[in-house]
Amino acid sequence: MTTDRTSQPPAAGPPGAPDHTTNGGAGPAAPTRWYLTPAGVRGLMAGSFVAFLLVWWGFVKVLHLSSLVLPTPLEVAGALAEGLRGPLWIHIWVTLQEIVLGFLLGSLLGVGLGTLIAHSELARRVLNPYLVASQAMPKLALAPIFVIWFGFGITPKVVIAALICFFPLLENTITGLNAVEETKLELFRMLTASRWQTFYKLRAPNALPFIFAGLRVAIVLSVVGAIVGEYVGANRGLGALIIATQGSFDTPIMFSVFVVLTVVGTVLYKIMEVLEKVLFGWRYLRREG
Amino acid sequence: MTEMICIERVSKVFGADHQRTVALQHIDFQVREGEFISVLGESGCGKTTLLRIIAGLVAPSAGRVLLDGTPVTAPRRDMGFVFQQPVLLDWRTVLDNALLPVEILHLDKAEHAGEARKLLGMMGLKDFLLHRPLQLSGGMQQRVAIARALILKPTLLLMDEPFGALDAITREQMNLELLNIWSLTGTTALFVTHDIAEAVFLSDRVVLLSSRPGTVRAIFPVDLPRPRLLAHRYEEEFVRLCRQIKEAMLEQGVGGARP
Repeated sequence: MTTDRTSQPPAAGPPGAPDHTTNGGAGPAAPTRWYLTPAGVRGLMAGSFVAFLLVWWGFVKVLHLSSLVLPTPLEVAGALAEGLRGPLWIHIWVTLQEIVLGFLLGSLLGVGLGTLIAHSELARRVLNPYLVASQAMPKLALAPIFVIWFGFGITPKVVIAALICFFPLLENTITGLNAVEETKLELFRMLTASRWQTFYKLRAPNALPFIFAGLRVAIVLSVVGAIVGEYVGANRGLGALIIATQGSFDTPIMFSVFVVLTVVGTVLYKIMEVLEKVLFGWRYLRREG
Repeated sequence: MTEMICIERVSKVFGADHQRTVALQHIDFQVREGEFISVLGESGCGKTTLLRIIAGLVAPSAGRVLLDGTPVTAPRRDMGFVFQQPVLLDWRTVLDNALLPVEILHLDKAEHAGEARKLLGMMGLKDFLLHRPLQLSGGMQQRVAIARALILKPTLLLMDEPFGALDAITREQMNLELLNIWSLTGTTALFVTHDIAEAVFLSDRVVLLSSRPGTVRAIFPVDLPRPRLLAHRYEEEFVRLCRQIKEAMLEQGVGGARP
């Protein structure tokens, strides 16, 4: 491993060299073609993270920044540990509900309406102008009216998250259902398949990978929807907590919420990715020998 | 032998006005029951269109196709079709791809699974039943497509240049396997190709189509014994027939008119 490191001067370099590591992660590593063992890669990843924290810490110290403006990593870790001992969980739970419910609702509607539109030219023509208009409209701008309609509970956040999730799924469902090769449709005609059989044995399985790509985008967007919904009006949830800490100048806690949000988003995204790999393993198959 | 397919003055016109193309004109021939017929012609002569008309996938502009005395107006369940490409469903296993027609017709899958295994086994796919199409070579994929076309024991097997995308060696192998399986099923076969040797090797009769518009140029009976062997390809009769067909193609300016 040590030899691997030495063969990686620009990226792995001494952690104390800020010039390299600040733009480090992606920048200098990309064009290098040197061989790295998996252990070496892991070492490099861990090293770059440590370097990132050190640069952060050095930045705060050198500029004498108050923890009000930018807390050190240590202060953030402290606030996070404190929060995880109790008070954070209720907020995590509330926001998670909003994210998941909004995601499920929006996805279901998107797939449902997408299926309808893919099958009926009439539905497509009638609904298309509205869909284009509502797609152009920034959904987050609607958050205040949802608070007026649905109050301060989780409902308005679920609605906003659902609204944002809806479009990627609508689009991908329509695309997926129509992306069937002509020859395959002809095969089904030749087999005297009914319209329904052509749908569930051909179009739907063909569309699933497209739909899953939409789900991966939607789950991340759902986090955005839930948080922005909470910004507008909420007393619980991670977004509400961010607003509260802004009021009380509790910047370390605010940063600890950023960390939690990053973890929540990443975990949800990974879940979708794993589901996709399990369900569509065949897409990654290649000929043997 | 009774006549199974009657193709009666079939014509097909695409487009209208100055874009009008006559793809097929007054096609007339019969296929007897149990016969293996090849429709031979150069690319663009309308042979694929003719096959699709016989399958009921395309309606003729004039004339009609009779299958056992009834006009073909739509795809029928007693026909098997092998496309130029394998057209397999990537998410299904080899076995489930072969069983697709069984599912579509709501027949008992378990009952037909044995037949599917037998067909796939005959084509050397015994160890690949649970593989996915993406794991197979082009030749193996086309074998699955043939098994799928034969699973319901069709009375008529239609094949549209099924081996066109394969290399010459795989192609010869596939020709042998096809003849083997055809002789065991006893189905009537209609095979479209642009390869003279392939047509002669497989068929009882070769129908030569001319180009633009496609018309029946000549029909050549093939008097080679069955079962056909690869060695037949080098025999005098085989070579003579191939040359005769080639000359007929050149004579009408089909092959020769081109640079």
